[in-house]
Amino acid sequence: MLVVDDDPIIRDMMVDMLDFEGYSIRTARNGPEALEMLRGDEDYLVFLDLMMPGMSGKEVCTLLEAEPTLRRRHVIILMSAMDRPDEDTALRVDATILKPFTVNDLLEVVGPYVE
Amino acid sequence: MPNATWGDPEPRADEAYSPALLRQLLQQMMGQFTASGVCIALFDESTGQMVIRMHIRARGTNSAPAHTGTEPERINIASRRTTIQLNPAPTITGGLRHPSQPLEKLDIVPVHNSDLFPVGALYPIDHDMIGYAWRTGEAYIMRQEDYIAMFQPGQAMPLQAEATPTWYLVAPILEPTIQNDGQNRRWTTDTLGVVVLYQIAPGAGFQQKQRSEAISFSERIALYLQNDRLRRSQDRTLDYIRRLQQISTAFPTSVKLANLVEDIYHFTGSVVDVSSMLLTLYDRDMDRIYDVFAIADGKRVEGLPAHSVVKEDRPQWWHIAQVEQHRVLLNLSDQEPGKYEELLTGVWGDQRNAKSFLFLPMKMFTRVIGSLSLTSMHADAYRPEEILVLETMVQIITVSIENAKLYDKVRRSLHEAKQREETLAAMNSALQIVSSVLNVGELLHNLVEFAAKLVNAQLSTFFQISTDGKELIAEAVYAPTSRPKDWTELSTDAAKHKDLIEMIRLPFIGSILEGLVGEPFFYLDHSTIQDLAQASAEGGGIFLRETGTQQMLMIPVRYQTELTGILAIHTLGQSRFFHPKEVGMLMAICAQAGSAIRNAQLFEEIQEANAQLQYMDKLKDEFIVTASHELRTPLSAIQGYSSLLQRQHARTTPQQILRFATKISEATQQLSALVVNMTEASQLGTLDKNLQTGPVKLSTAAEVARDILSANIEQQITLRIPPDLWILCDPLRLRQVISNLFDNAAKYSPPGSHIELEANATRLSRLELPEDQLDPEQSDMDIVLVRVRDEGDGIDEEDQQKIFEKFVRASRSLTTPVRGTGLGLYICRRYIEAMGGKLWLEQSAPGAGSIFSFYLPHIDAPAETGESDEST
Repeated sequence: MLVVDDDPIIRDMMVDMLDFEGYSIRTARNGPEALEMLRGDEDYLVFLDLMMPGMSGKEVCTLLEAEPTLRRRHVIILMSAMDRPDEDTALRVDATILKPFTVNDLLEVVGPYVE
Repeated sequence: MPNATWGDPEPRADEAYSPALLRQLLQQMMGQFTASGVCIALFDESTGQMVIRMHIRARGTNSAPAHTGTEPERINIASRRTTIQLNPAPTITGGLRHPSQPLEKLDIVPVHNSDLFPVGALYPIDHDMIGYAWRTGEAYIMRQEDYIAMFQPGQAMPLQAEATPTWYLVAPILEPTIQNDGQNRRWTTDTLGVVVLYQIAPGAGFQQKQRSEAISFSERIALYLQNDRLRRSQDRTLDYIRRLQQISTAFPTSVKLANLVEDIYHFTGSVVDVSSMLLTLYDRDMDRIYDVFAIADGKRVEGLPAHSVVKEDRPQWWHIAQVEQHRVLLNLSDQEPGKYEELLTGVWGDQRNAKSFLFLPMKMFTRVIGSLSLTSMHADAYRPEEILVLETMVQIITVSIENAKLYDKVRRSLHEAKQREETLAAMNSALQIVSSVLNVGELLHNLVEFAAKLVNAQLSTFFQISTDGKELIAEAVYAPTSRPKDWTELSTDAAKHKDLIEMIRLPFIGSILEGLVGEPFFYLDHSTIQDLAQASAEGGGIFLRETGTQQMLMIPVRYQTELTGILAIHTLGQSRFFHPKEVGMLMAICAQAGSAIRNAQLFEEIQEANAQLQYMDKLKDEFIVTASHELRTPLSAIQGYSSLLQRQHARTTPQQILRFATKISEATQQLSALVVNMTEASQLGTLDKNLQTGPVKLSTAAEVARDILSANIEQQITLRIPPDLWILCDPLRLRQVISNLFDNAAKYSPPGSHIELEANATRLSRLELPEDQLDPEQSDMDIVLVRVRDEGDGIDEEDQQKIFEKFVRASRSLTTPVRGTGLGLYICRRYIEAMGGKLWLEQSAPGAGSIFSFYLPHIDAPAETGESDEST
């Protein structure tokens, strides 16, 4: 699993939450870093922050779609109620999590993809 | 009828008997008495003698027909007989040499240049045959020899070269006896003329009995002449009436006095003999006497009316015309000279040598509006019936002049009413313009422009009372033709020159104006204006002097009882007092303007408040957006970690619990800092009003900020501030800005590094500001430059602008993973700008640290040091 978020607090928290469940977690601070990491490893699930400086979560999604080797990853979007990912319908996402969230919210969304 | 020539009167019109009638009568008489020739002499009043008026002779009796000078006329007597029935009875012809000569064959030629009884010859009474018959009033027969015997030896005898009569029958023409009522009458009027019949052929003669026949025939002649005279007089009267009608109908359609006097002049000349004439009018309204028209000895006097006089200058005229109101008729030769000197002299020359004088007052009921004076060089030139005609004429023209005056008055008052209406309409539209404008500046500009145009003034100003009530400040100037041109520019582009206009100030409290504003309006004379210019601030004095303001009409403008300002109408170069009507109109406009200005002011306040509200609203929206983004991270942390503690409490180690709790605590702190900043930001809208600026000692403020912060940070803060450096600002805000800069520096710098604040006094022009902070309108000034330097990571170039723009992204744009409150720099910049300074990022490079700089106005240290040191 890969957590992509520019906010270290969120990254740390995600690691803490998923670590207790025994998942192996890596983190990336921005889009380019995430793409680099994904090219090298076979992470199954990607948590992607929508609002990031530089490359936004939406742009990361588009790039994932464009690269055949990366296309099959599941993407879970991290967003706040104010963000609107659906404006561009082309965006293919598997699930969304609204900030702020509890550990239970997170595990509920993750559940279907880890079995 | 005569005549247009003055001073050269033709023979009196009523004395020129119809020649056709005369000839007819003489011809008939000649036939009846079988005479060779006949002539008629008629009395001429102007000479007092008998004048030969006609002389005719049977054709063939004259050996020298060429003497006739004209083509002999053939007159068909027979055709005339039907109309002339003087004596239908057959004539007694016994003893005559040529009895019953048929009238049809009588051929007549007029005799013109005859030596015998030439036409025009004059005969005084008792002189010659004619004068004798005139005196005796009887007819007589005389032979040529007896006639010659009448002349005494040596006495000139009439030459009789062309034809010598043998016998004469002389008969006076006596006035019909019906006129003789037995009263004493002058004998000269009894005999109208004398008829002389004569025979030329030798042997032909007259009989004694024919004398009575001749008398009765001449009586008929007299009747005919009188008839003719009556008819002519009737014709003349009709003619007068017709002409008078023309004169009367000419008014008031042609009201020009010039035309009127021409008509008077022609008409008068056609009625009587006039050598000089004078028309004088009296203007009741002005109480002046004018000589409007004069003919002096046949020549028109040009350039009248030259001037007017008061009645005291014409006591005689006033007495006769206005007091006695009677006509004066004089035969001047009978009068003592100088009695009517005033009436007989003046613009029409000296008339005292005239023979006749007529003065006719022009009356309208009991008022006299003028007089008509006439003189003639003939004695007795004005007779009662003609005076009556002239009086009628004078009456008509009097009415006409009065009509014309009335007509003029009505027209004038109509014109005035129309003007008034137009002025009212103009005022109305102006008032509407003034009232409908809700922009105070535009309204005042309209006001001064309209006021100046209304009264034709070259300059007008509106002075508004200053907020402290001490001064009057010009808010609008209208100076379309002002010299120097600078002032004109002020009025043409008022908005652009608002600052300049507002430099025109007059003292109010303590000046003469303060005492006068209670009046509805007042004038300031030149010396008062000079005093005011002396006492006023520079701009006001220059304005009053340069425009050459000589006098000012001042109209206070009020809203209810509160003085708003004063409208000033300047008079340049000379003093001018305005007509009460004009002042009234200006006051009406000012009254309206008072409430209009108030309305506009209220409207502007409302607009301002509205704009403020809208701004606040926008700010609030920004707060919400900001909040949703900024609150997300700390809230996520708090919710995330607390839920994690809940779920995993059985499996967490104490170290983990501590770490999670610390995370929650940090997020809470971040949250509360955020709330504090947002509270600050929410007050930015009213920042300008809430500032409490004063002299602040920079070192004191910086030390306080450092002391508060240094306990919580791991960096060392150094202050390098010259002693006694003072800034004009709000001390609380300044400290907040410095704290914020220190805080930021600390967050982005490694522990143990240095943060340095350095300050120095300089000029604004020496600064190198980033382009977006340059303000071309800002004039140079003394400033204090403050720089805060850190040794941190610096800020990416692309982020350097963002940190000030949206407070939301300020923190997110920073690469360093330190979470700030996000609002700091934005608020700092707003604070500094509100206090008259600028804040910018002077330098920042990754690894080389950043320098944030700001400046604020530099002021000298207050006289009593320490007093202004802030207390908190």
